[in-house]
Amino acid sequence: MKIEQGVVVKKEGEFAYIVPSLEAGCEHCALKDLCIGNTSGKLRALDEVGAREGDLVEYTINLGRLNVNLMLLSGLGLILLLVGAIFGYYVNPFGIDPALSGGIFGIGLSALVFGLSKLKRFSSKELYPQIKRVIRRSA
Amino acid sequence: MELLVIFISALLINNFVLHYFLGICPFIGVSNRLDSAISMGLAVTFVMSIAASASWLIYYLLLVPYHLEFLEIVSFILVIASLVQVVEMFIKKTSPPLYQALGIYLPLITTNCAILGVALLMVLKKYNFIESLVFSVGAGLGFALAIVIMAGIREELEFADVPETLKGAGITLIVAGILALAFMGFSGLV
Repeated sequence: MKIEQGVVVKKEGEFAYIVPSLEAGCEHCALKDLCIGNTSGKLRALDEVGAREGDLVEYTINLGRLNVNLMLLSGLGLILLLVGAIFGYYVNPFGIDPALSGGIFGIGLSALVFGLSKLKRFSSKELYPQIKRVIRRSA
Repeated sequence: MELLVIFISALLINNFVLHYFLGICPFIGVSNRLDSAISMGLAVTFVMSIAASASWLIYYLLLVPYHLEFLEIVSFILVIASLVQVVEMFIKKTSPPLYQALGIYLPLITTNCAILGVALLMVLKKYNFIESLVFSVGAGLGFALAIVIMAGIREELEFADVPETLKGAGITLIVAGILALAFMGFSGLV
């Protein structure tokens, strides 16, 4: 569990958008603008304390669970890719170029993993950062 | 046996990070926590293997027959960037929290020169499709192994008494150098 601070910039129902306060180490990183939430430097977080725009808040990120989910998706994708490619190459059910068959089966089978990411496990609200405390209310 | 040799060679002897010095940016950037390092390692292995398969097919079924081999770098870059974009779009649609959490990973994967390195090396070494796949999985797991070892050491370093001037990037690069020396011990294994 990682604890961070940030400022709420927008509210949207039970979610709030936070601009995180960058740790000192981030200031020198060339990727600092890319690494925060991927878009516009804002994080979508579950607001459990009724924060308002402009509030400085403390939020937690369940890094462990996110990492396990990412490992599951990429690990499973890799296994499916290998199984599909070997099946397509050696069994070659359509009688086409074995490499092409291996590629189609491998990449096709590994694409199944994106169907799995629709499961509740991978899209549950608990995976979002959660605002736990308002440190300073906006004026 | 040949496939095993290719795998072990890519995994340990010609490790992409510690032998070729490719993919250093994510190696340094995401190696400060062990669980993040494992996720990053597996994600890179997955993208590397898919990218290598797709690149192999494009090179041998499209570029070679039409004598367009000179386009290999451009087409490989396009394949890798497109694949990561497709993965990104799917995850954004199906699992928004995971997409948000992936923030640091996706740009680091897209700009990871180790992935392009695998695609170029498999062509250079004239591997067939299955050999290329085994090579890319070995290279990806080698990357994962290096980043996980590094993360383990860096977590221990948090409690070490590192001189002030060496804290941060300094000690990380020294550790990476020692790790590369240690991996040289695998030379001659196969």
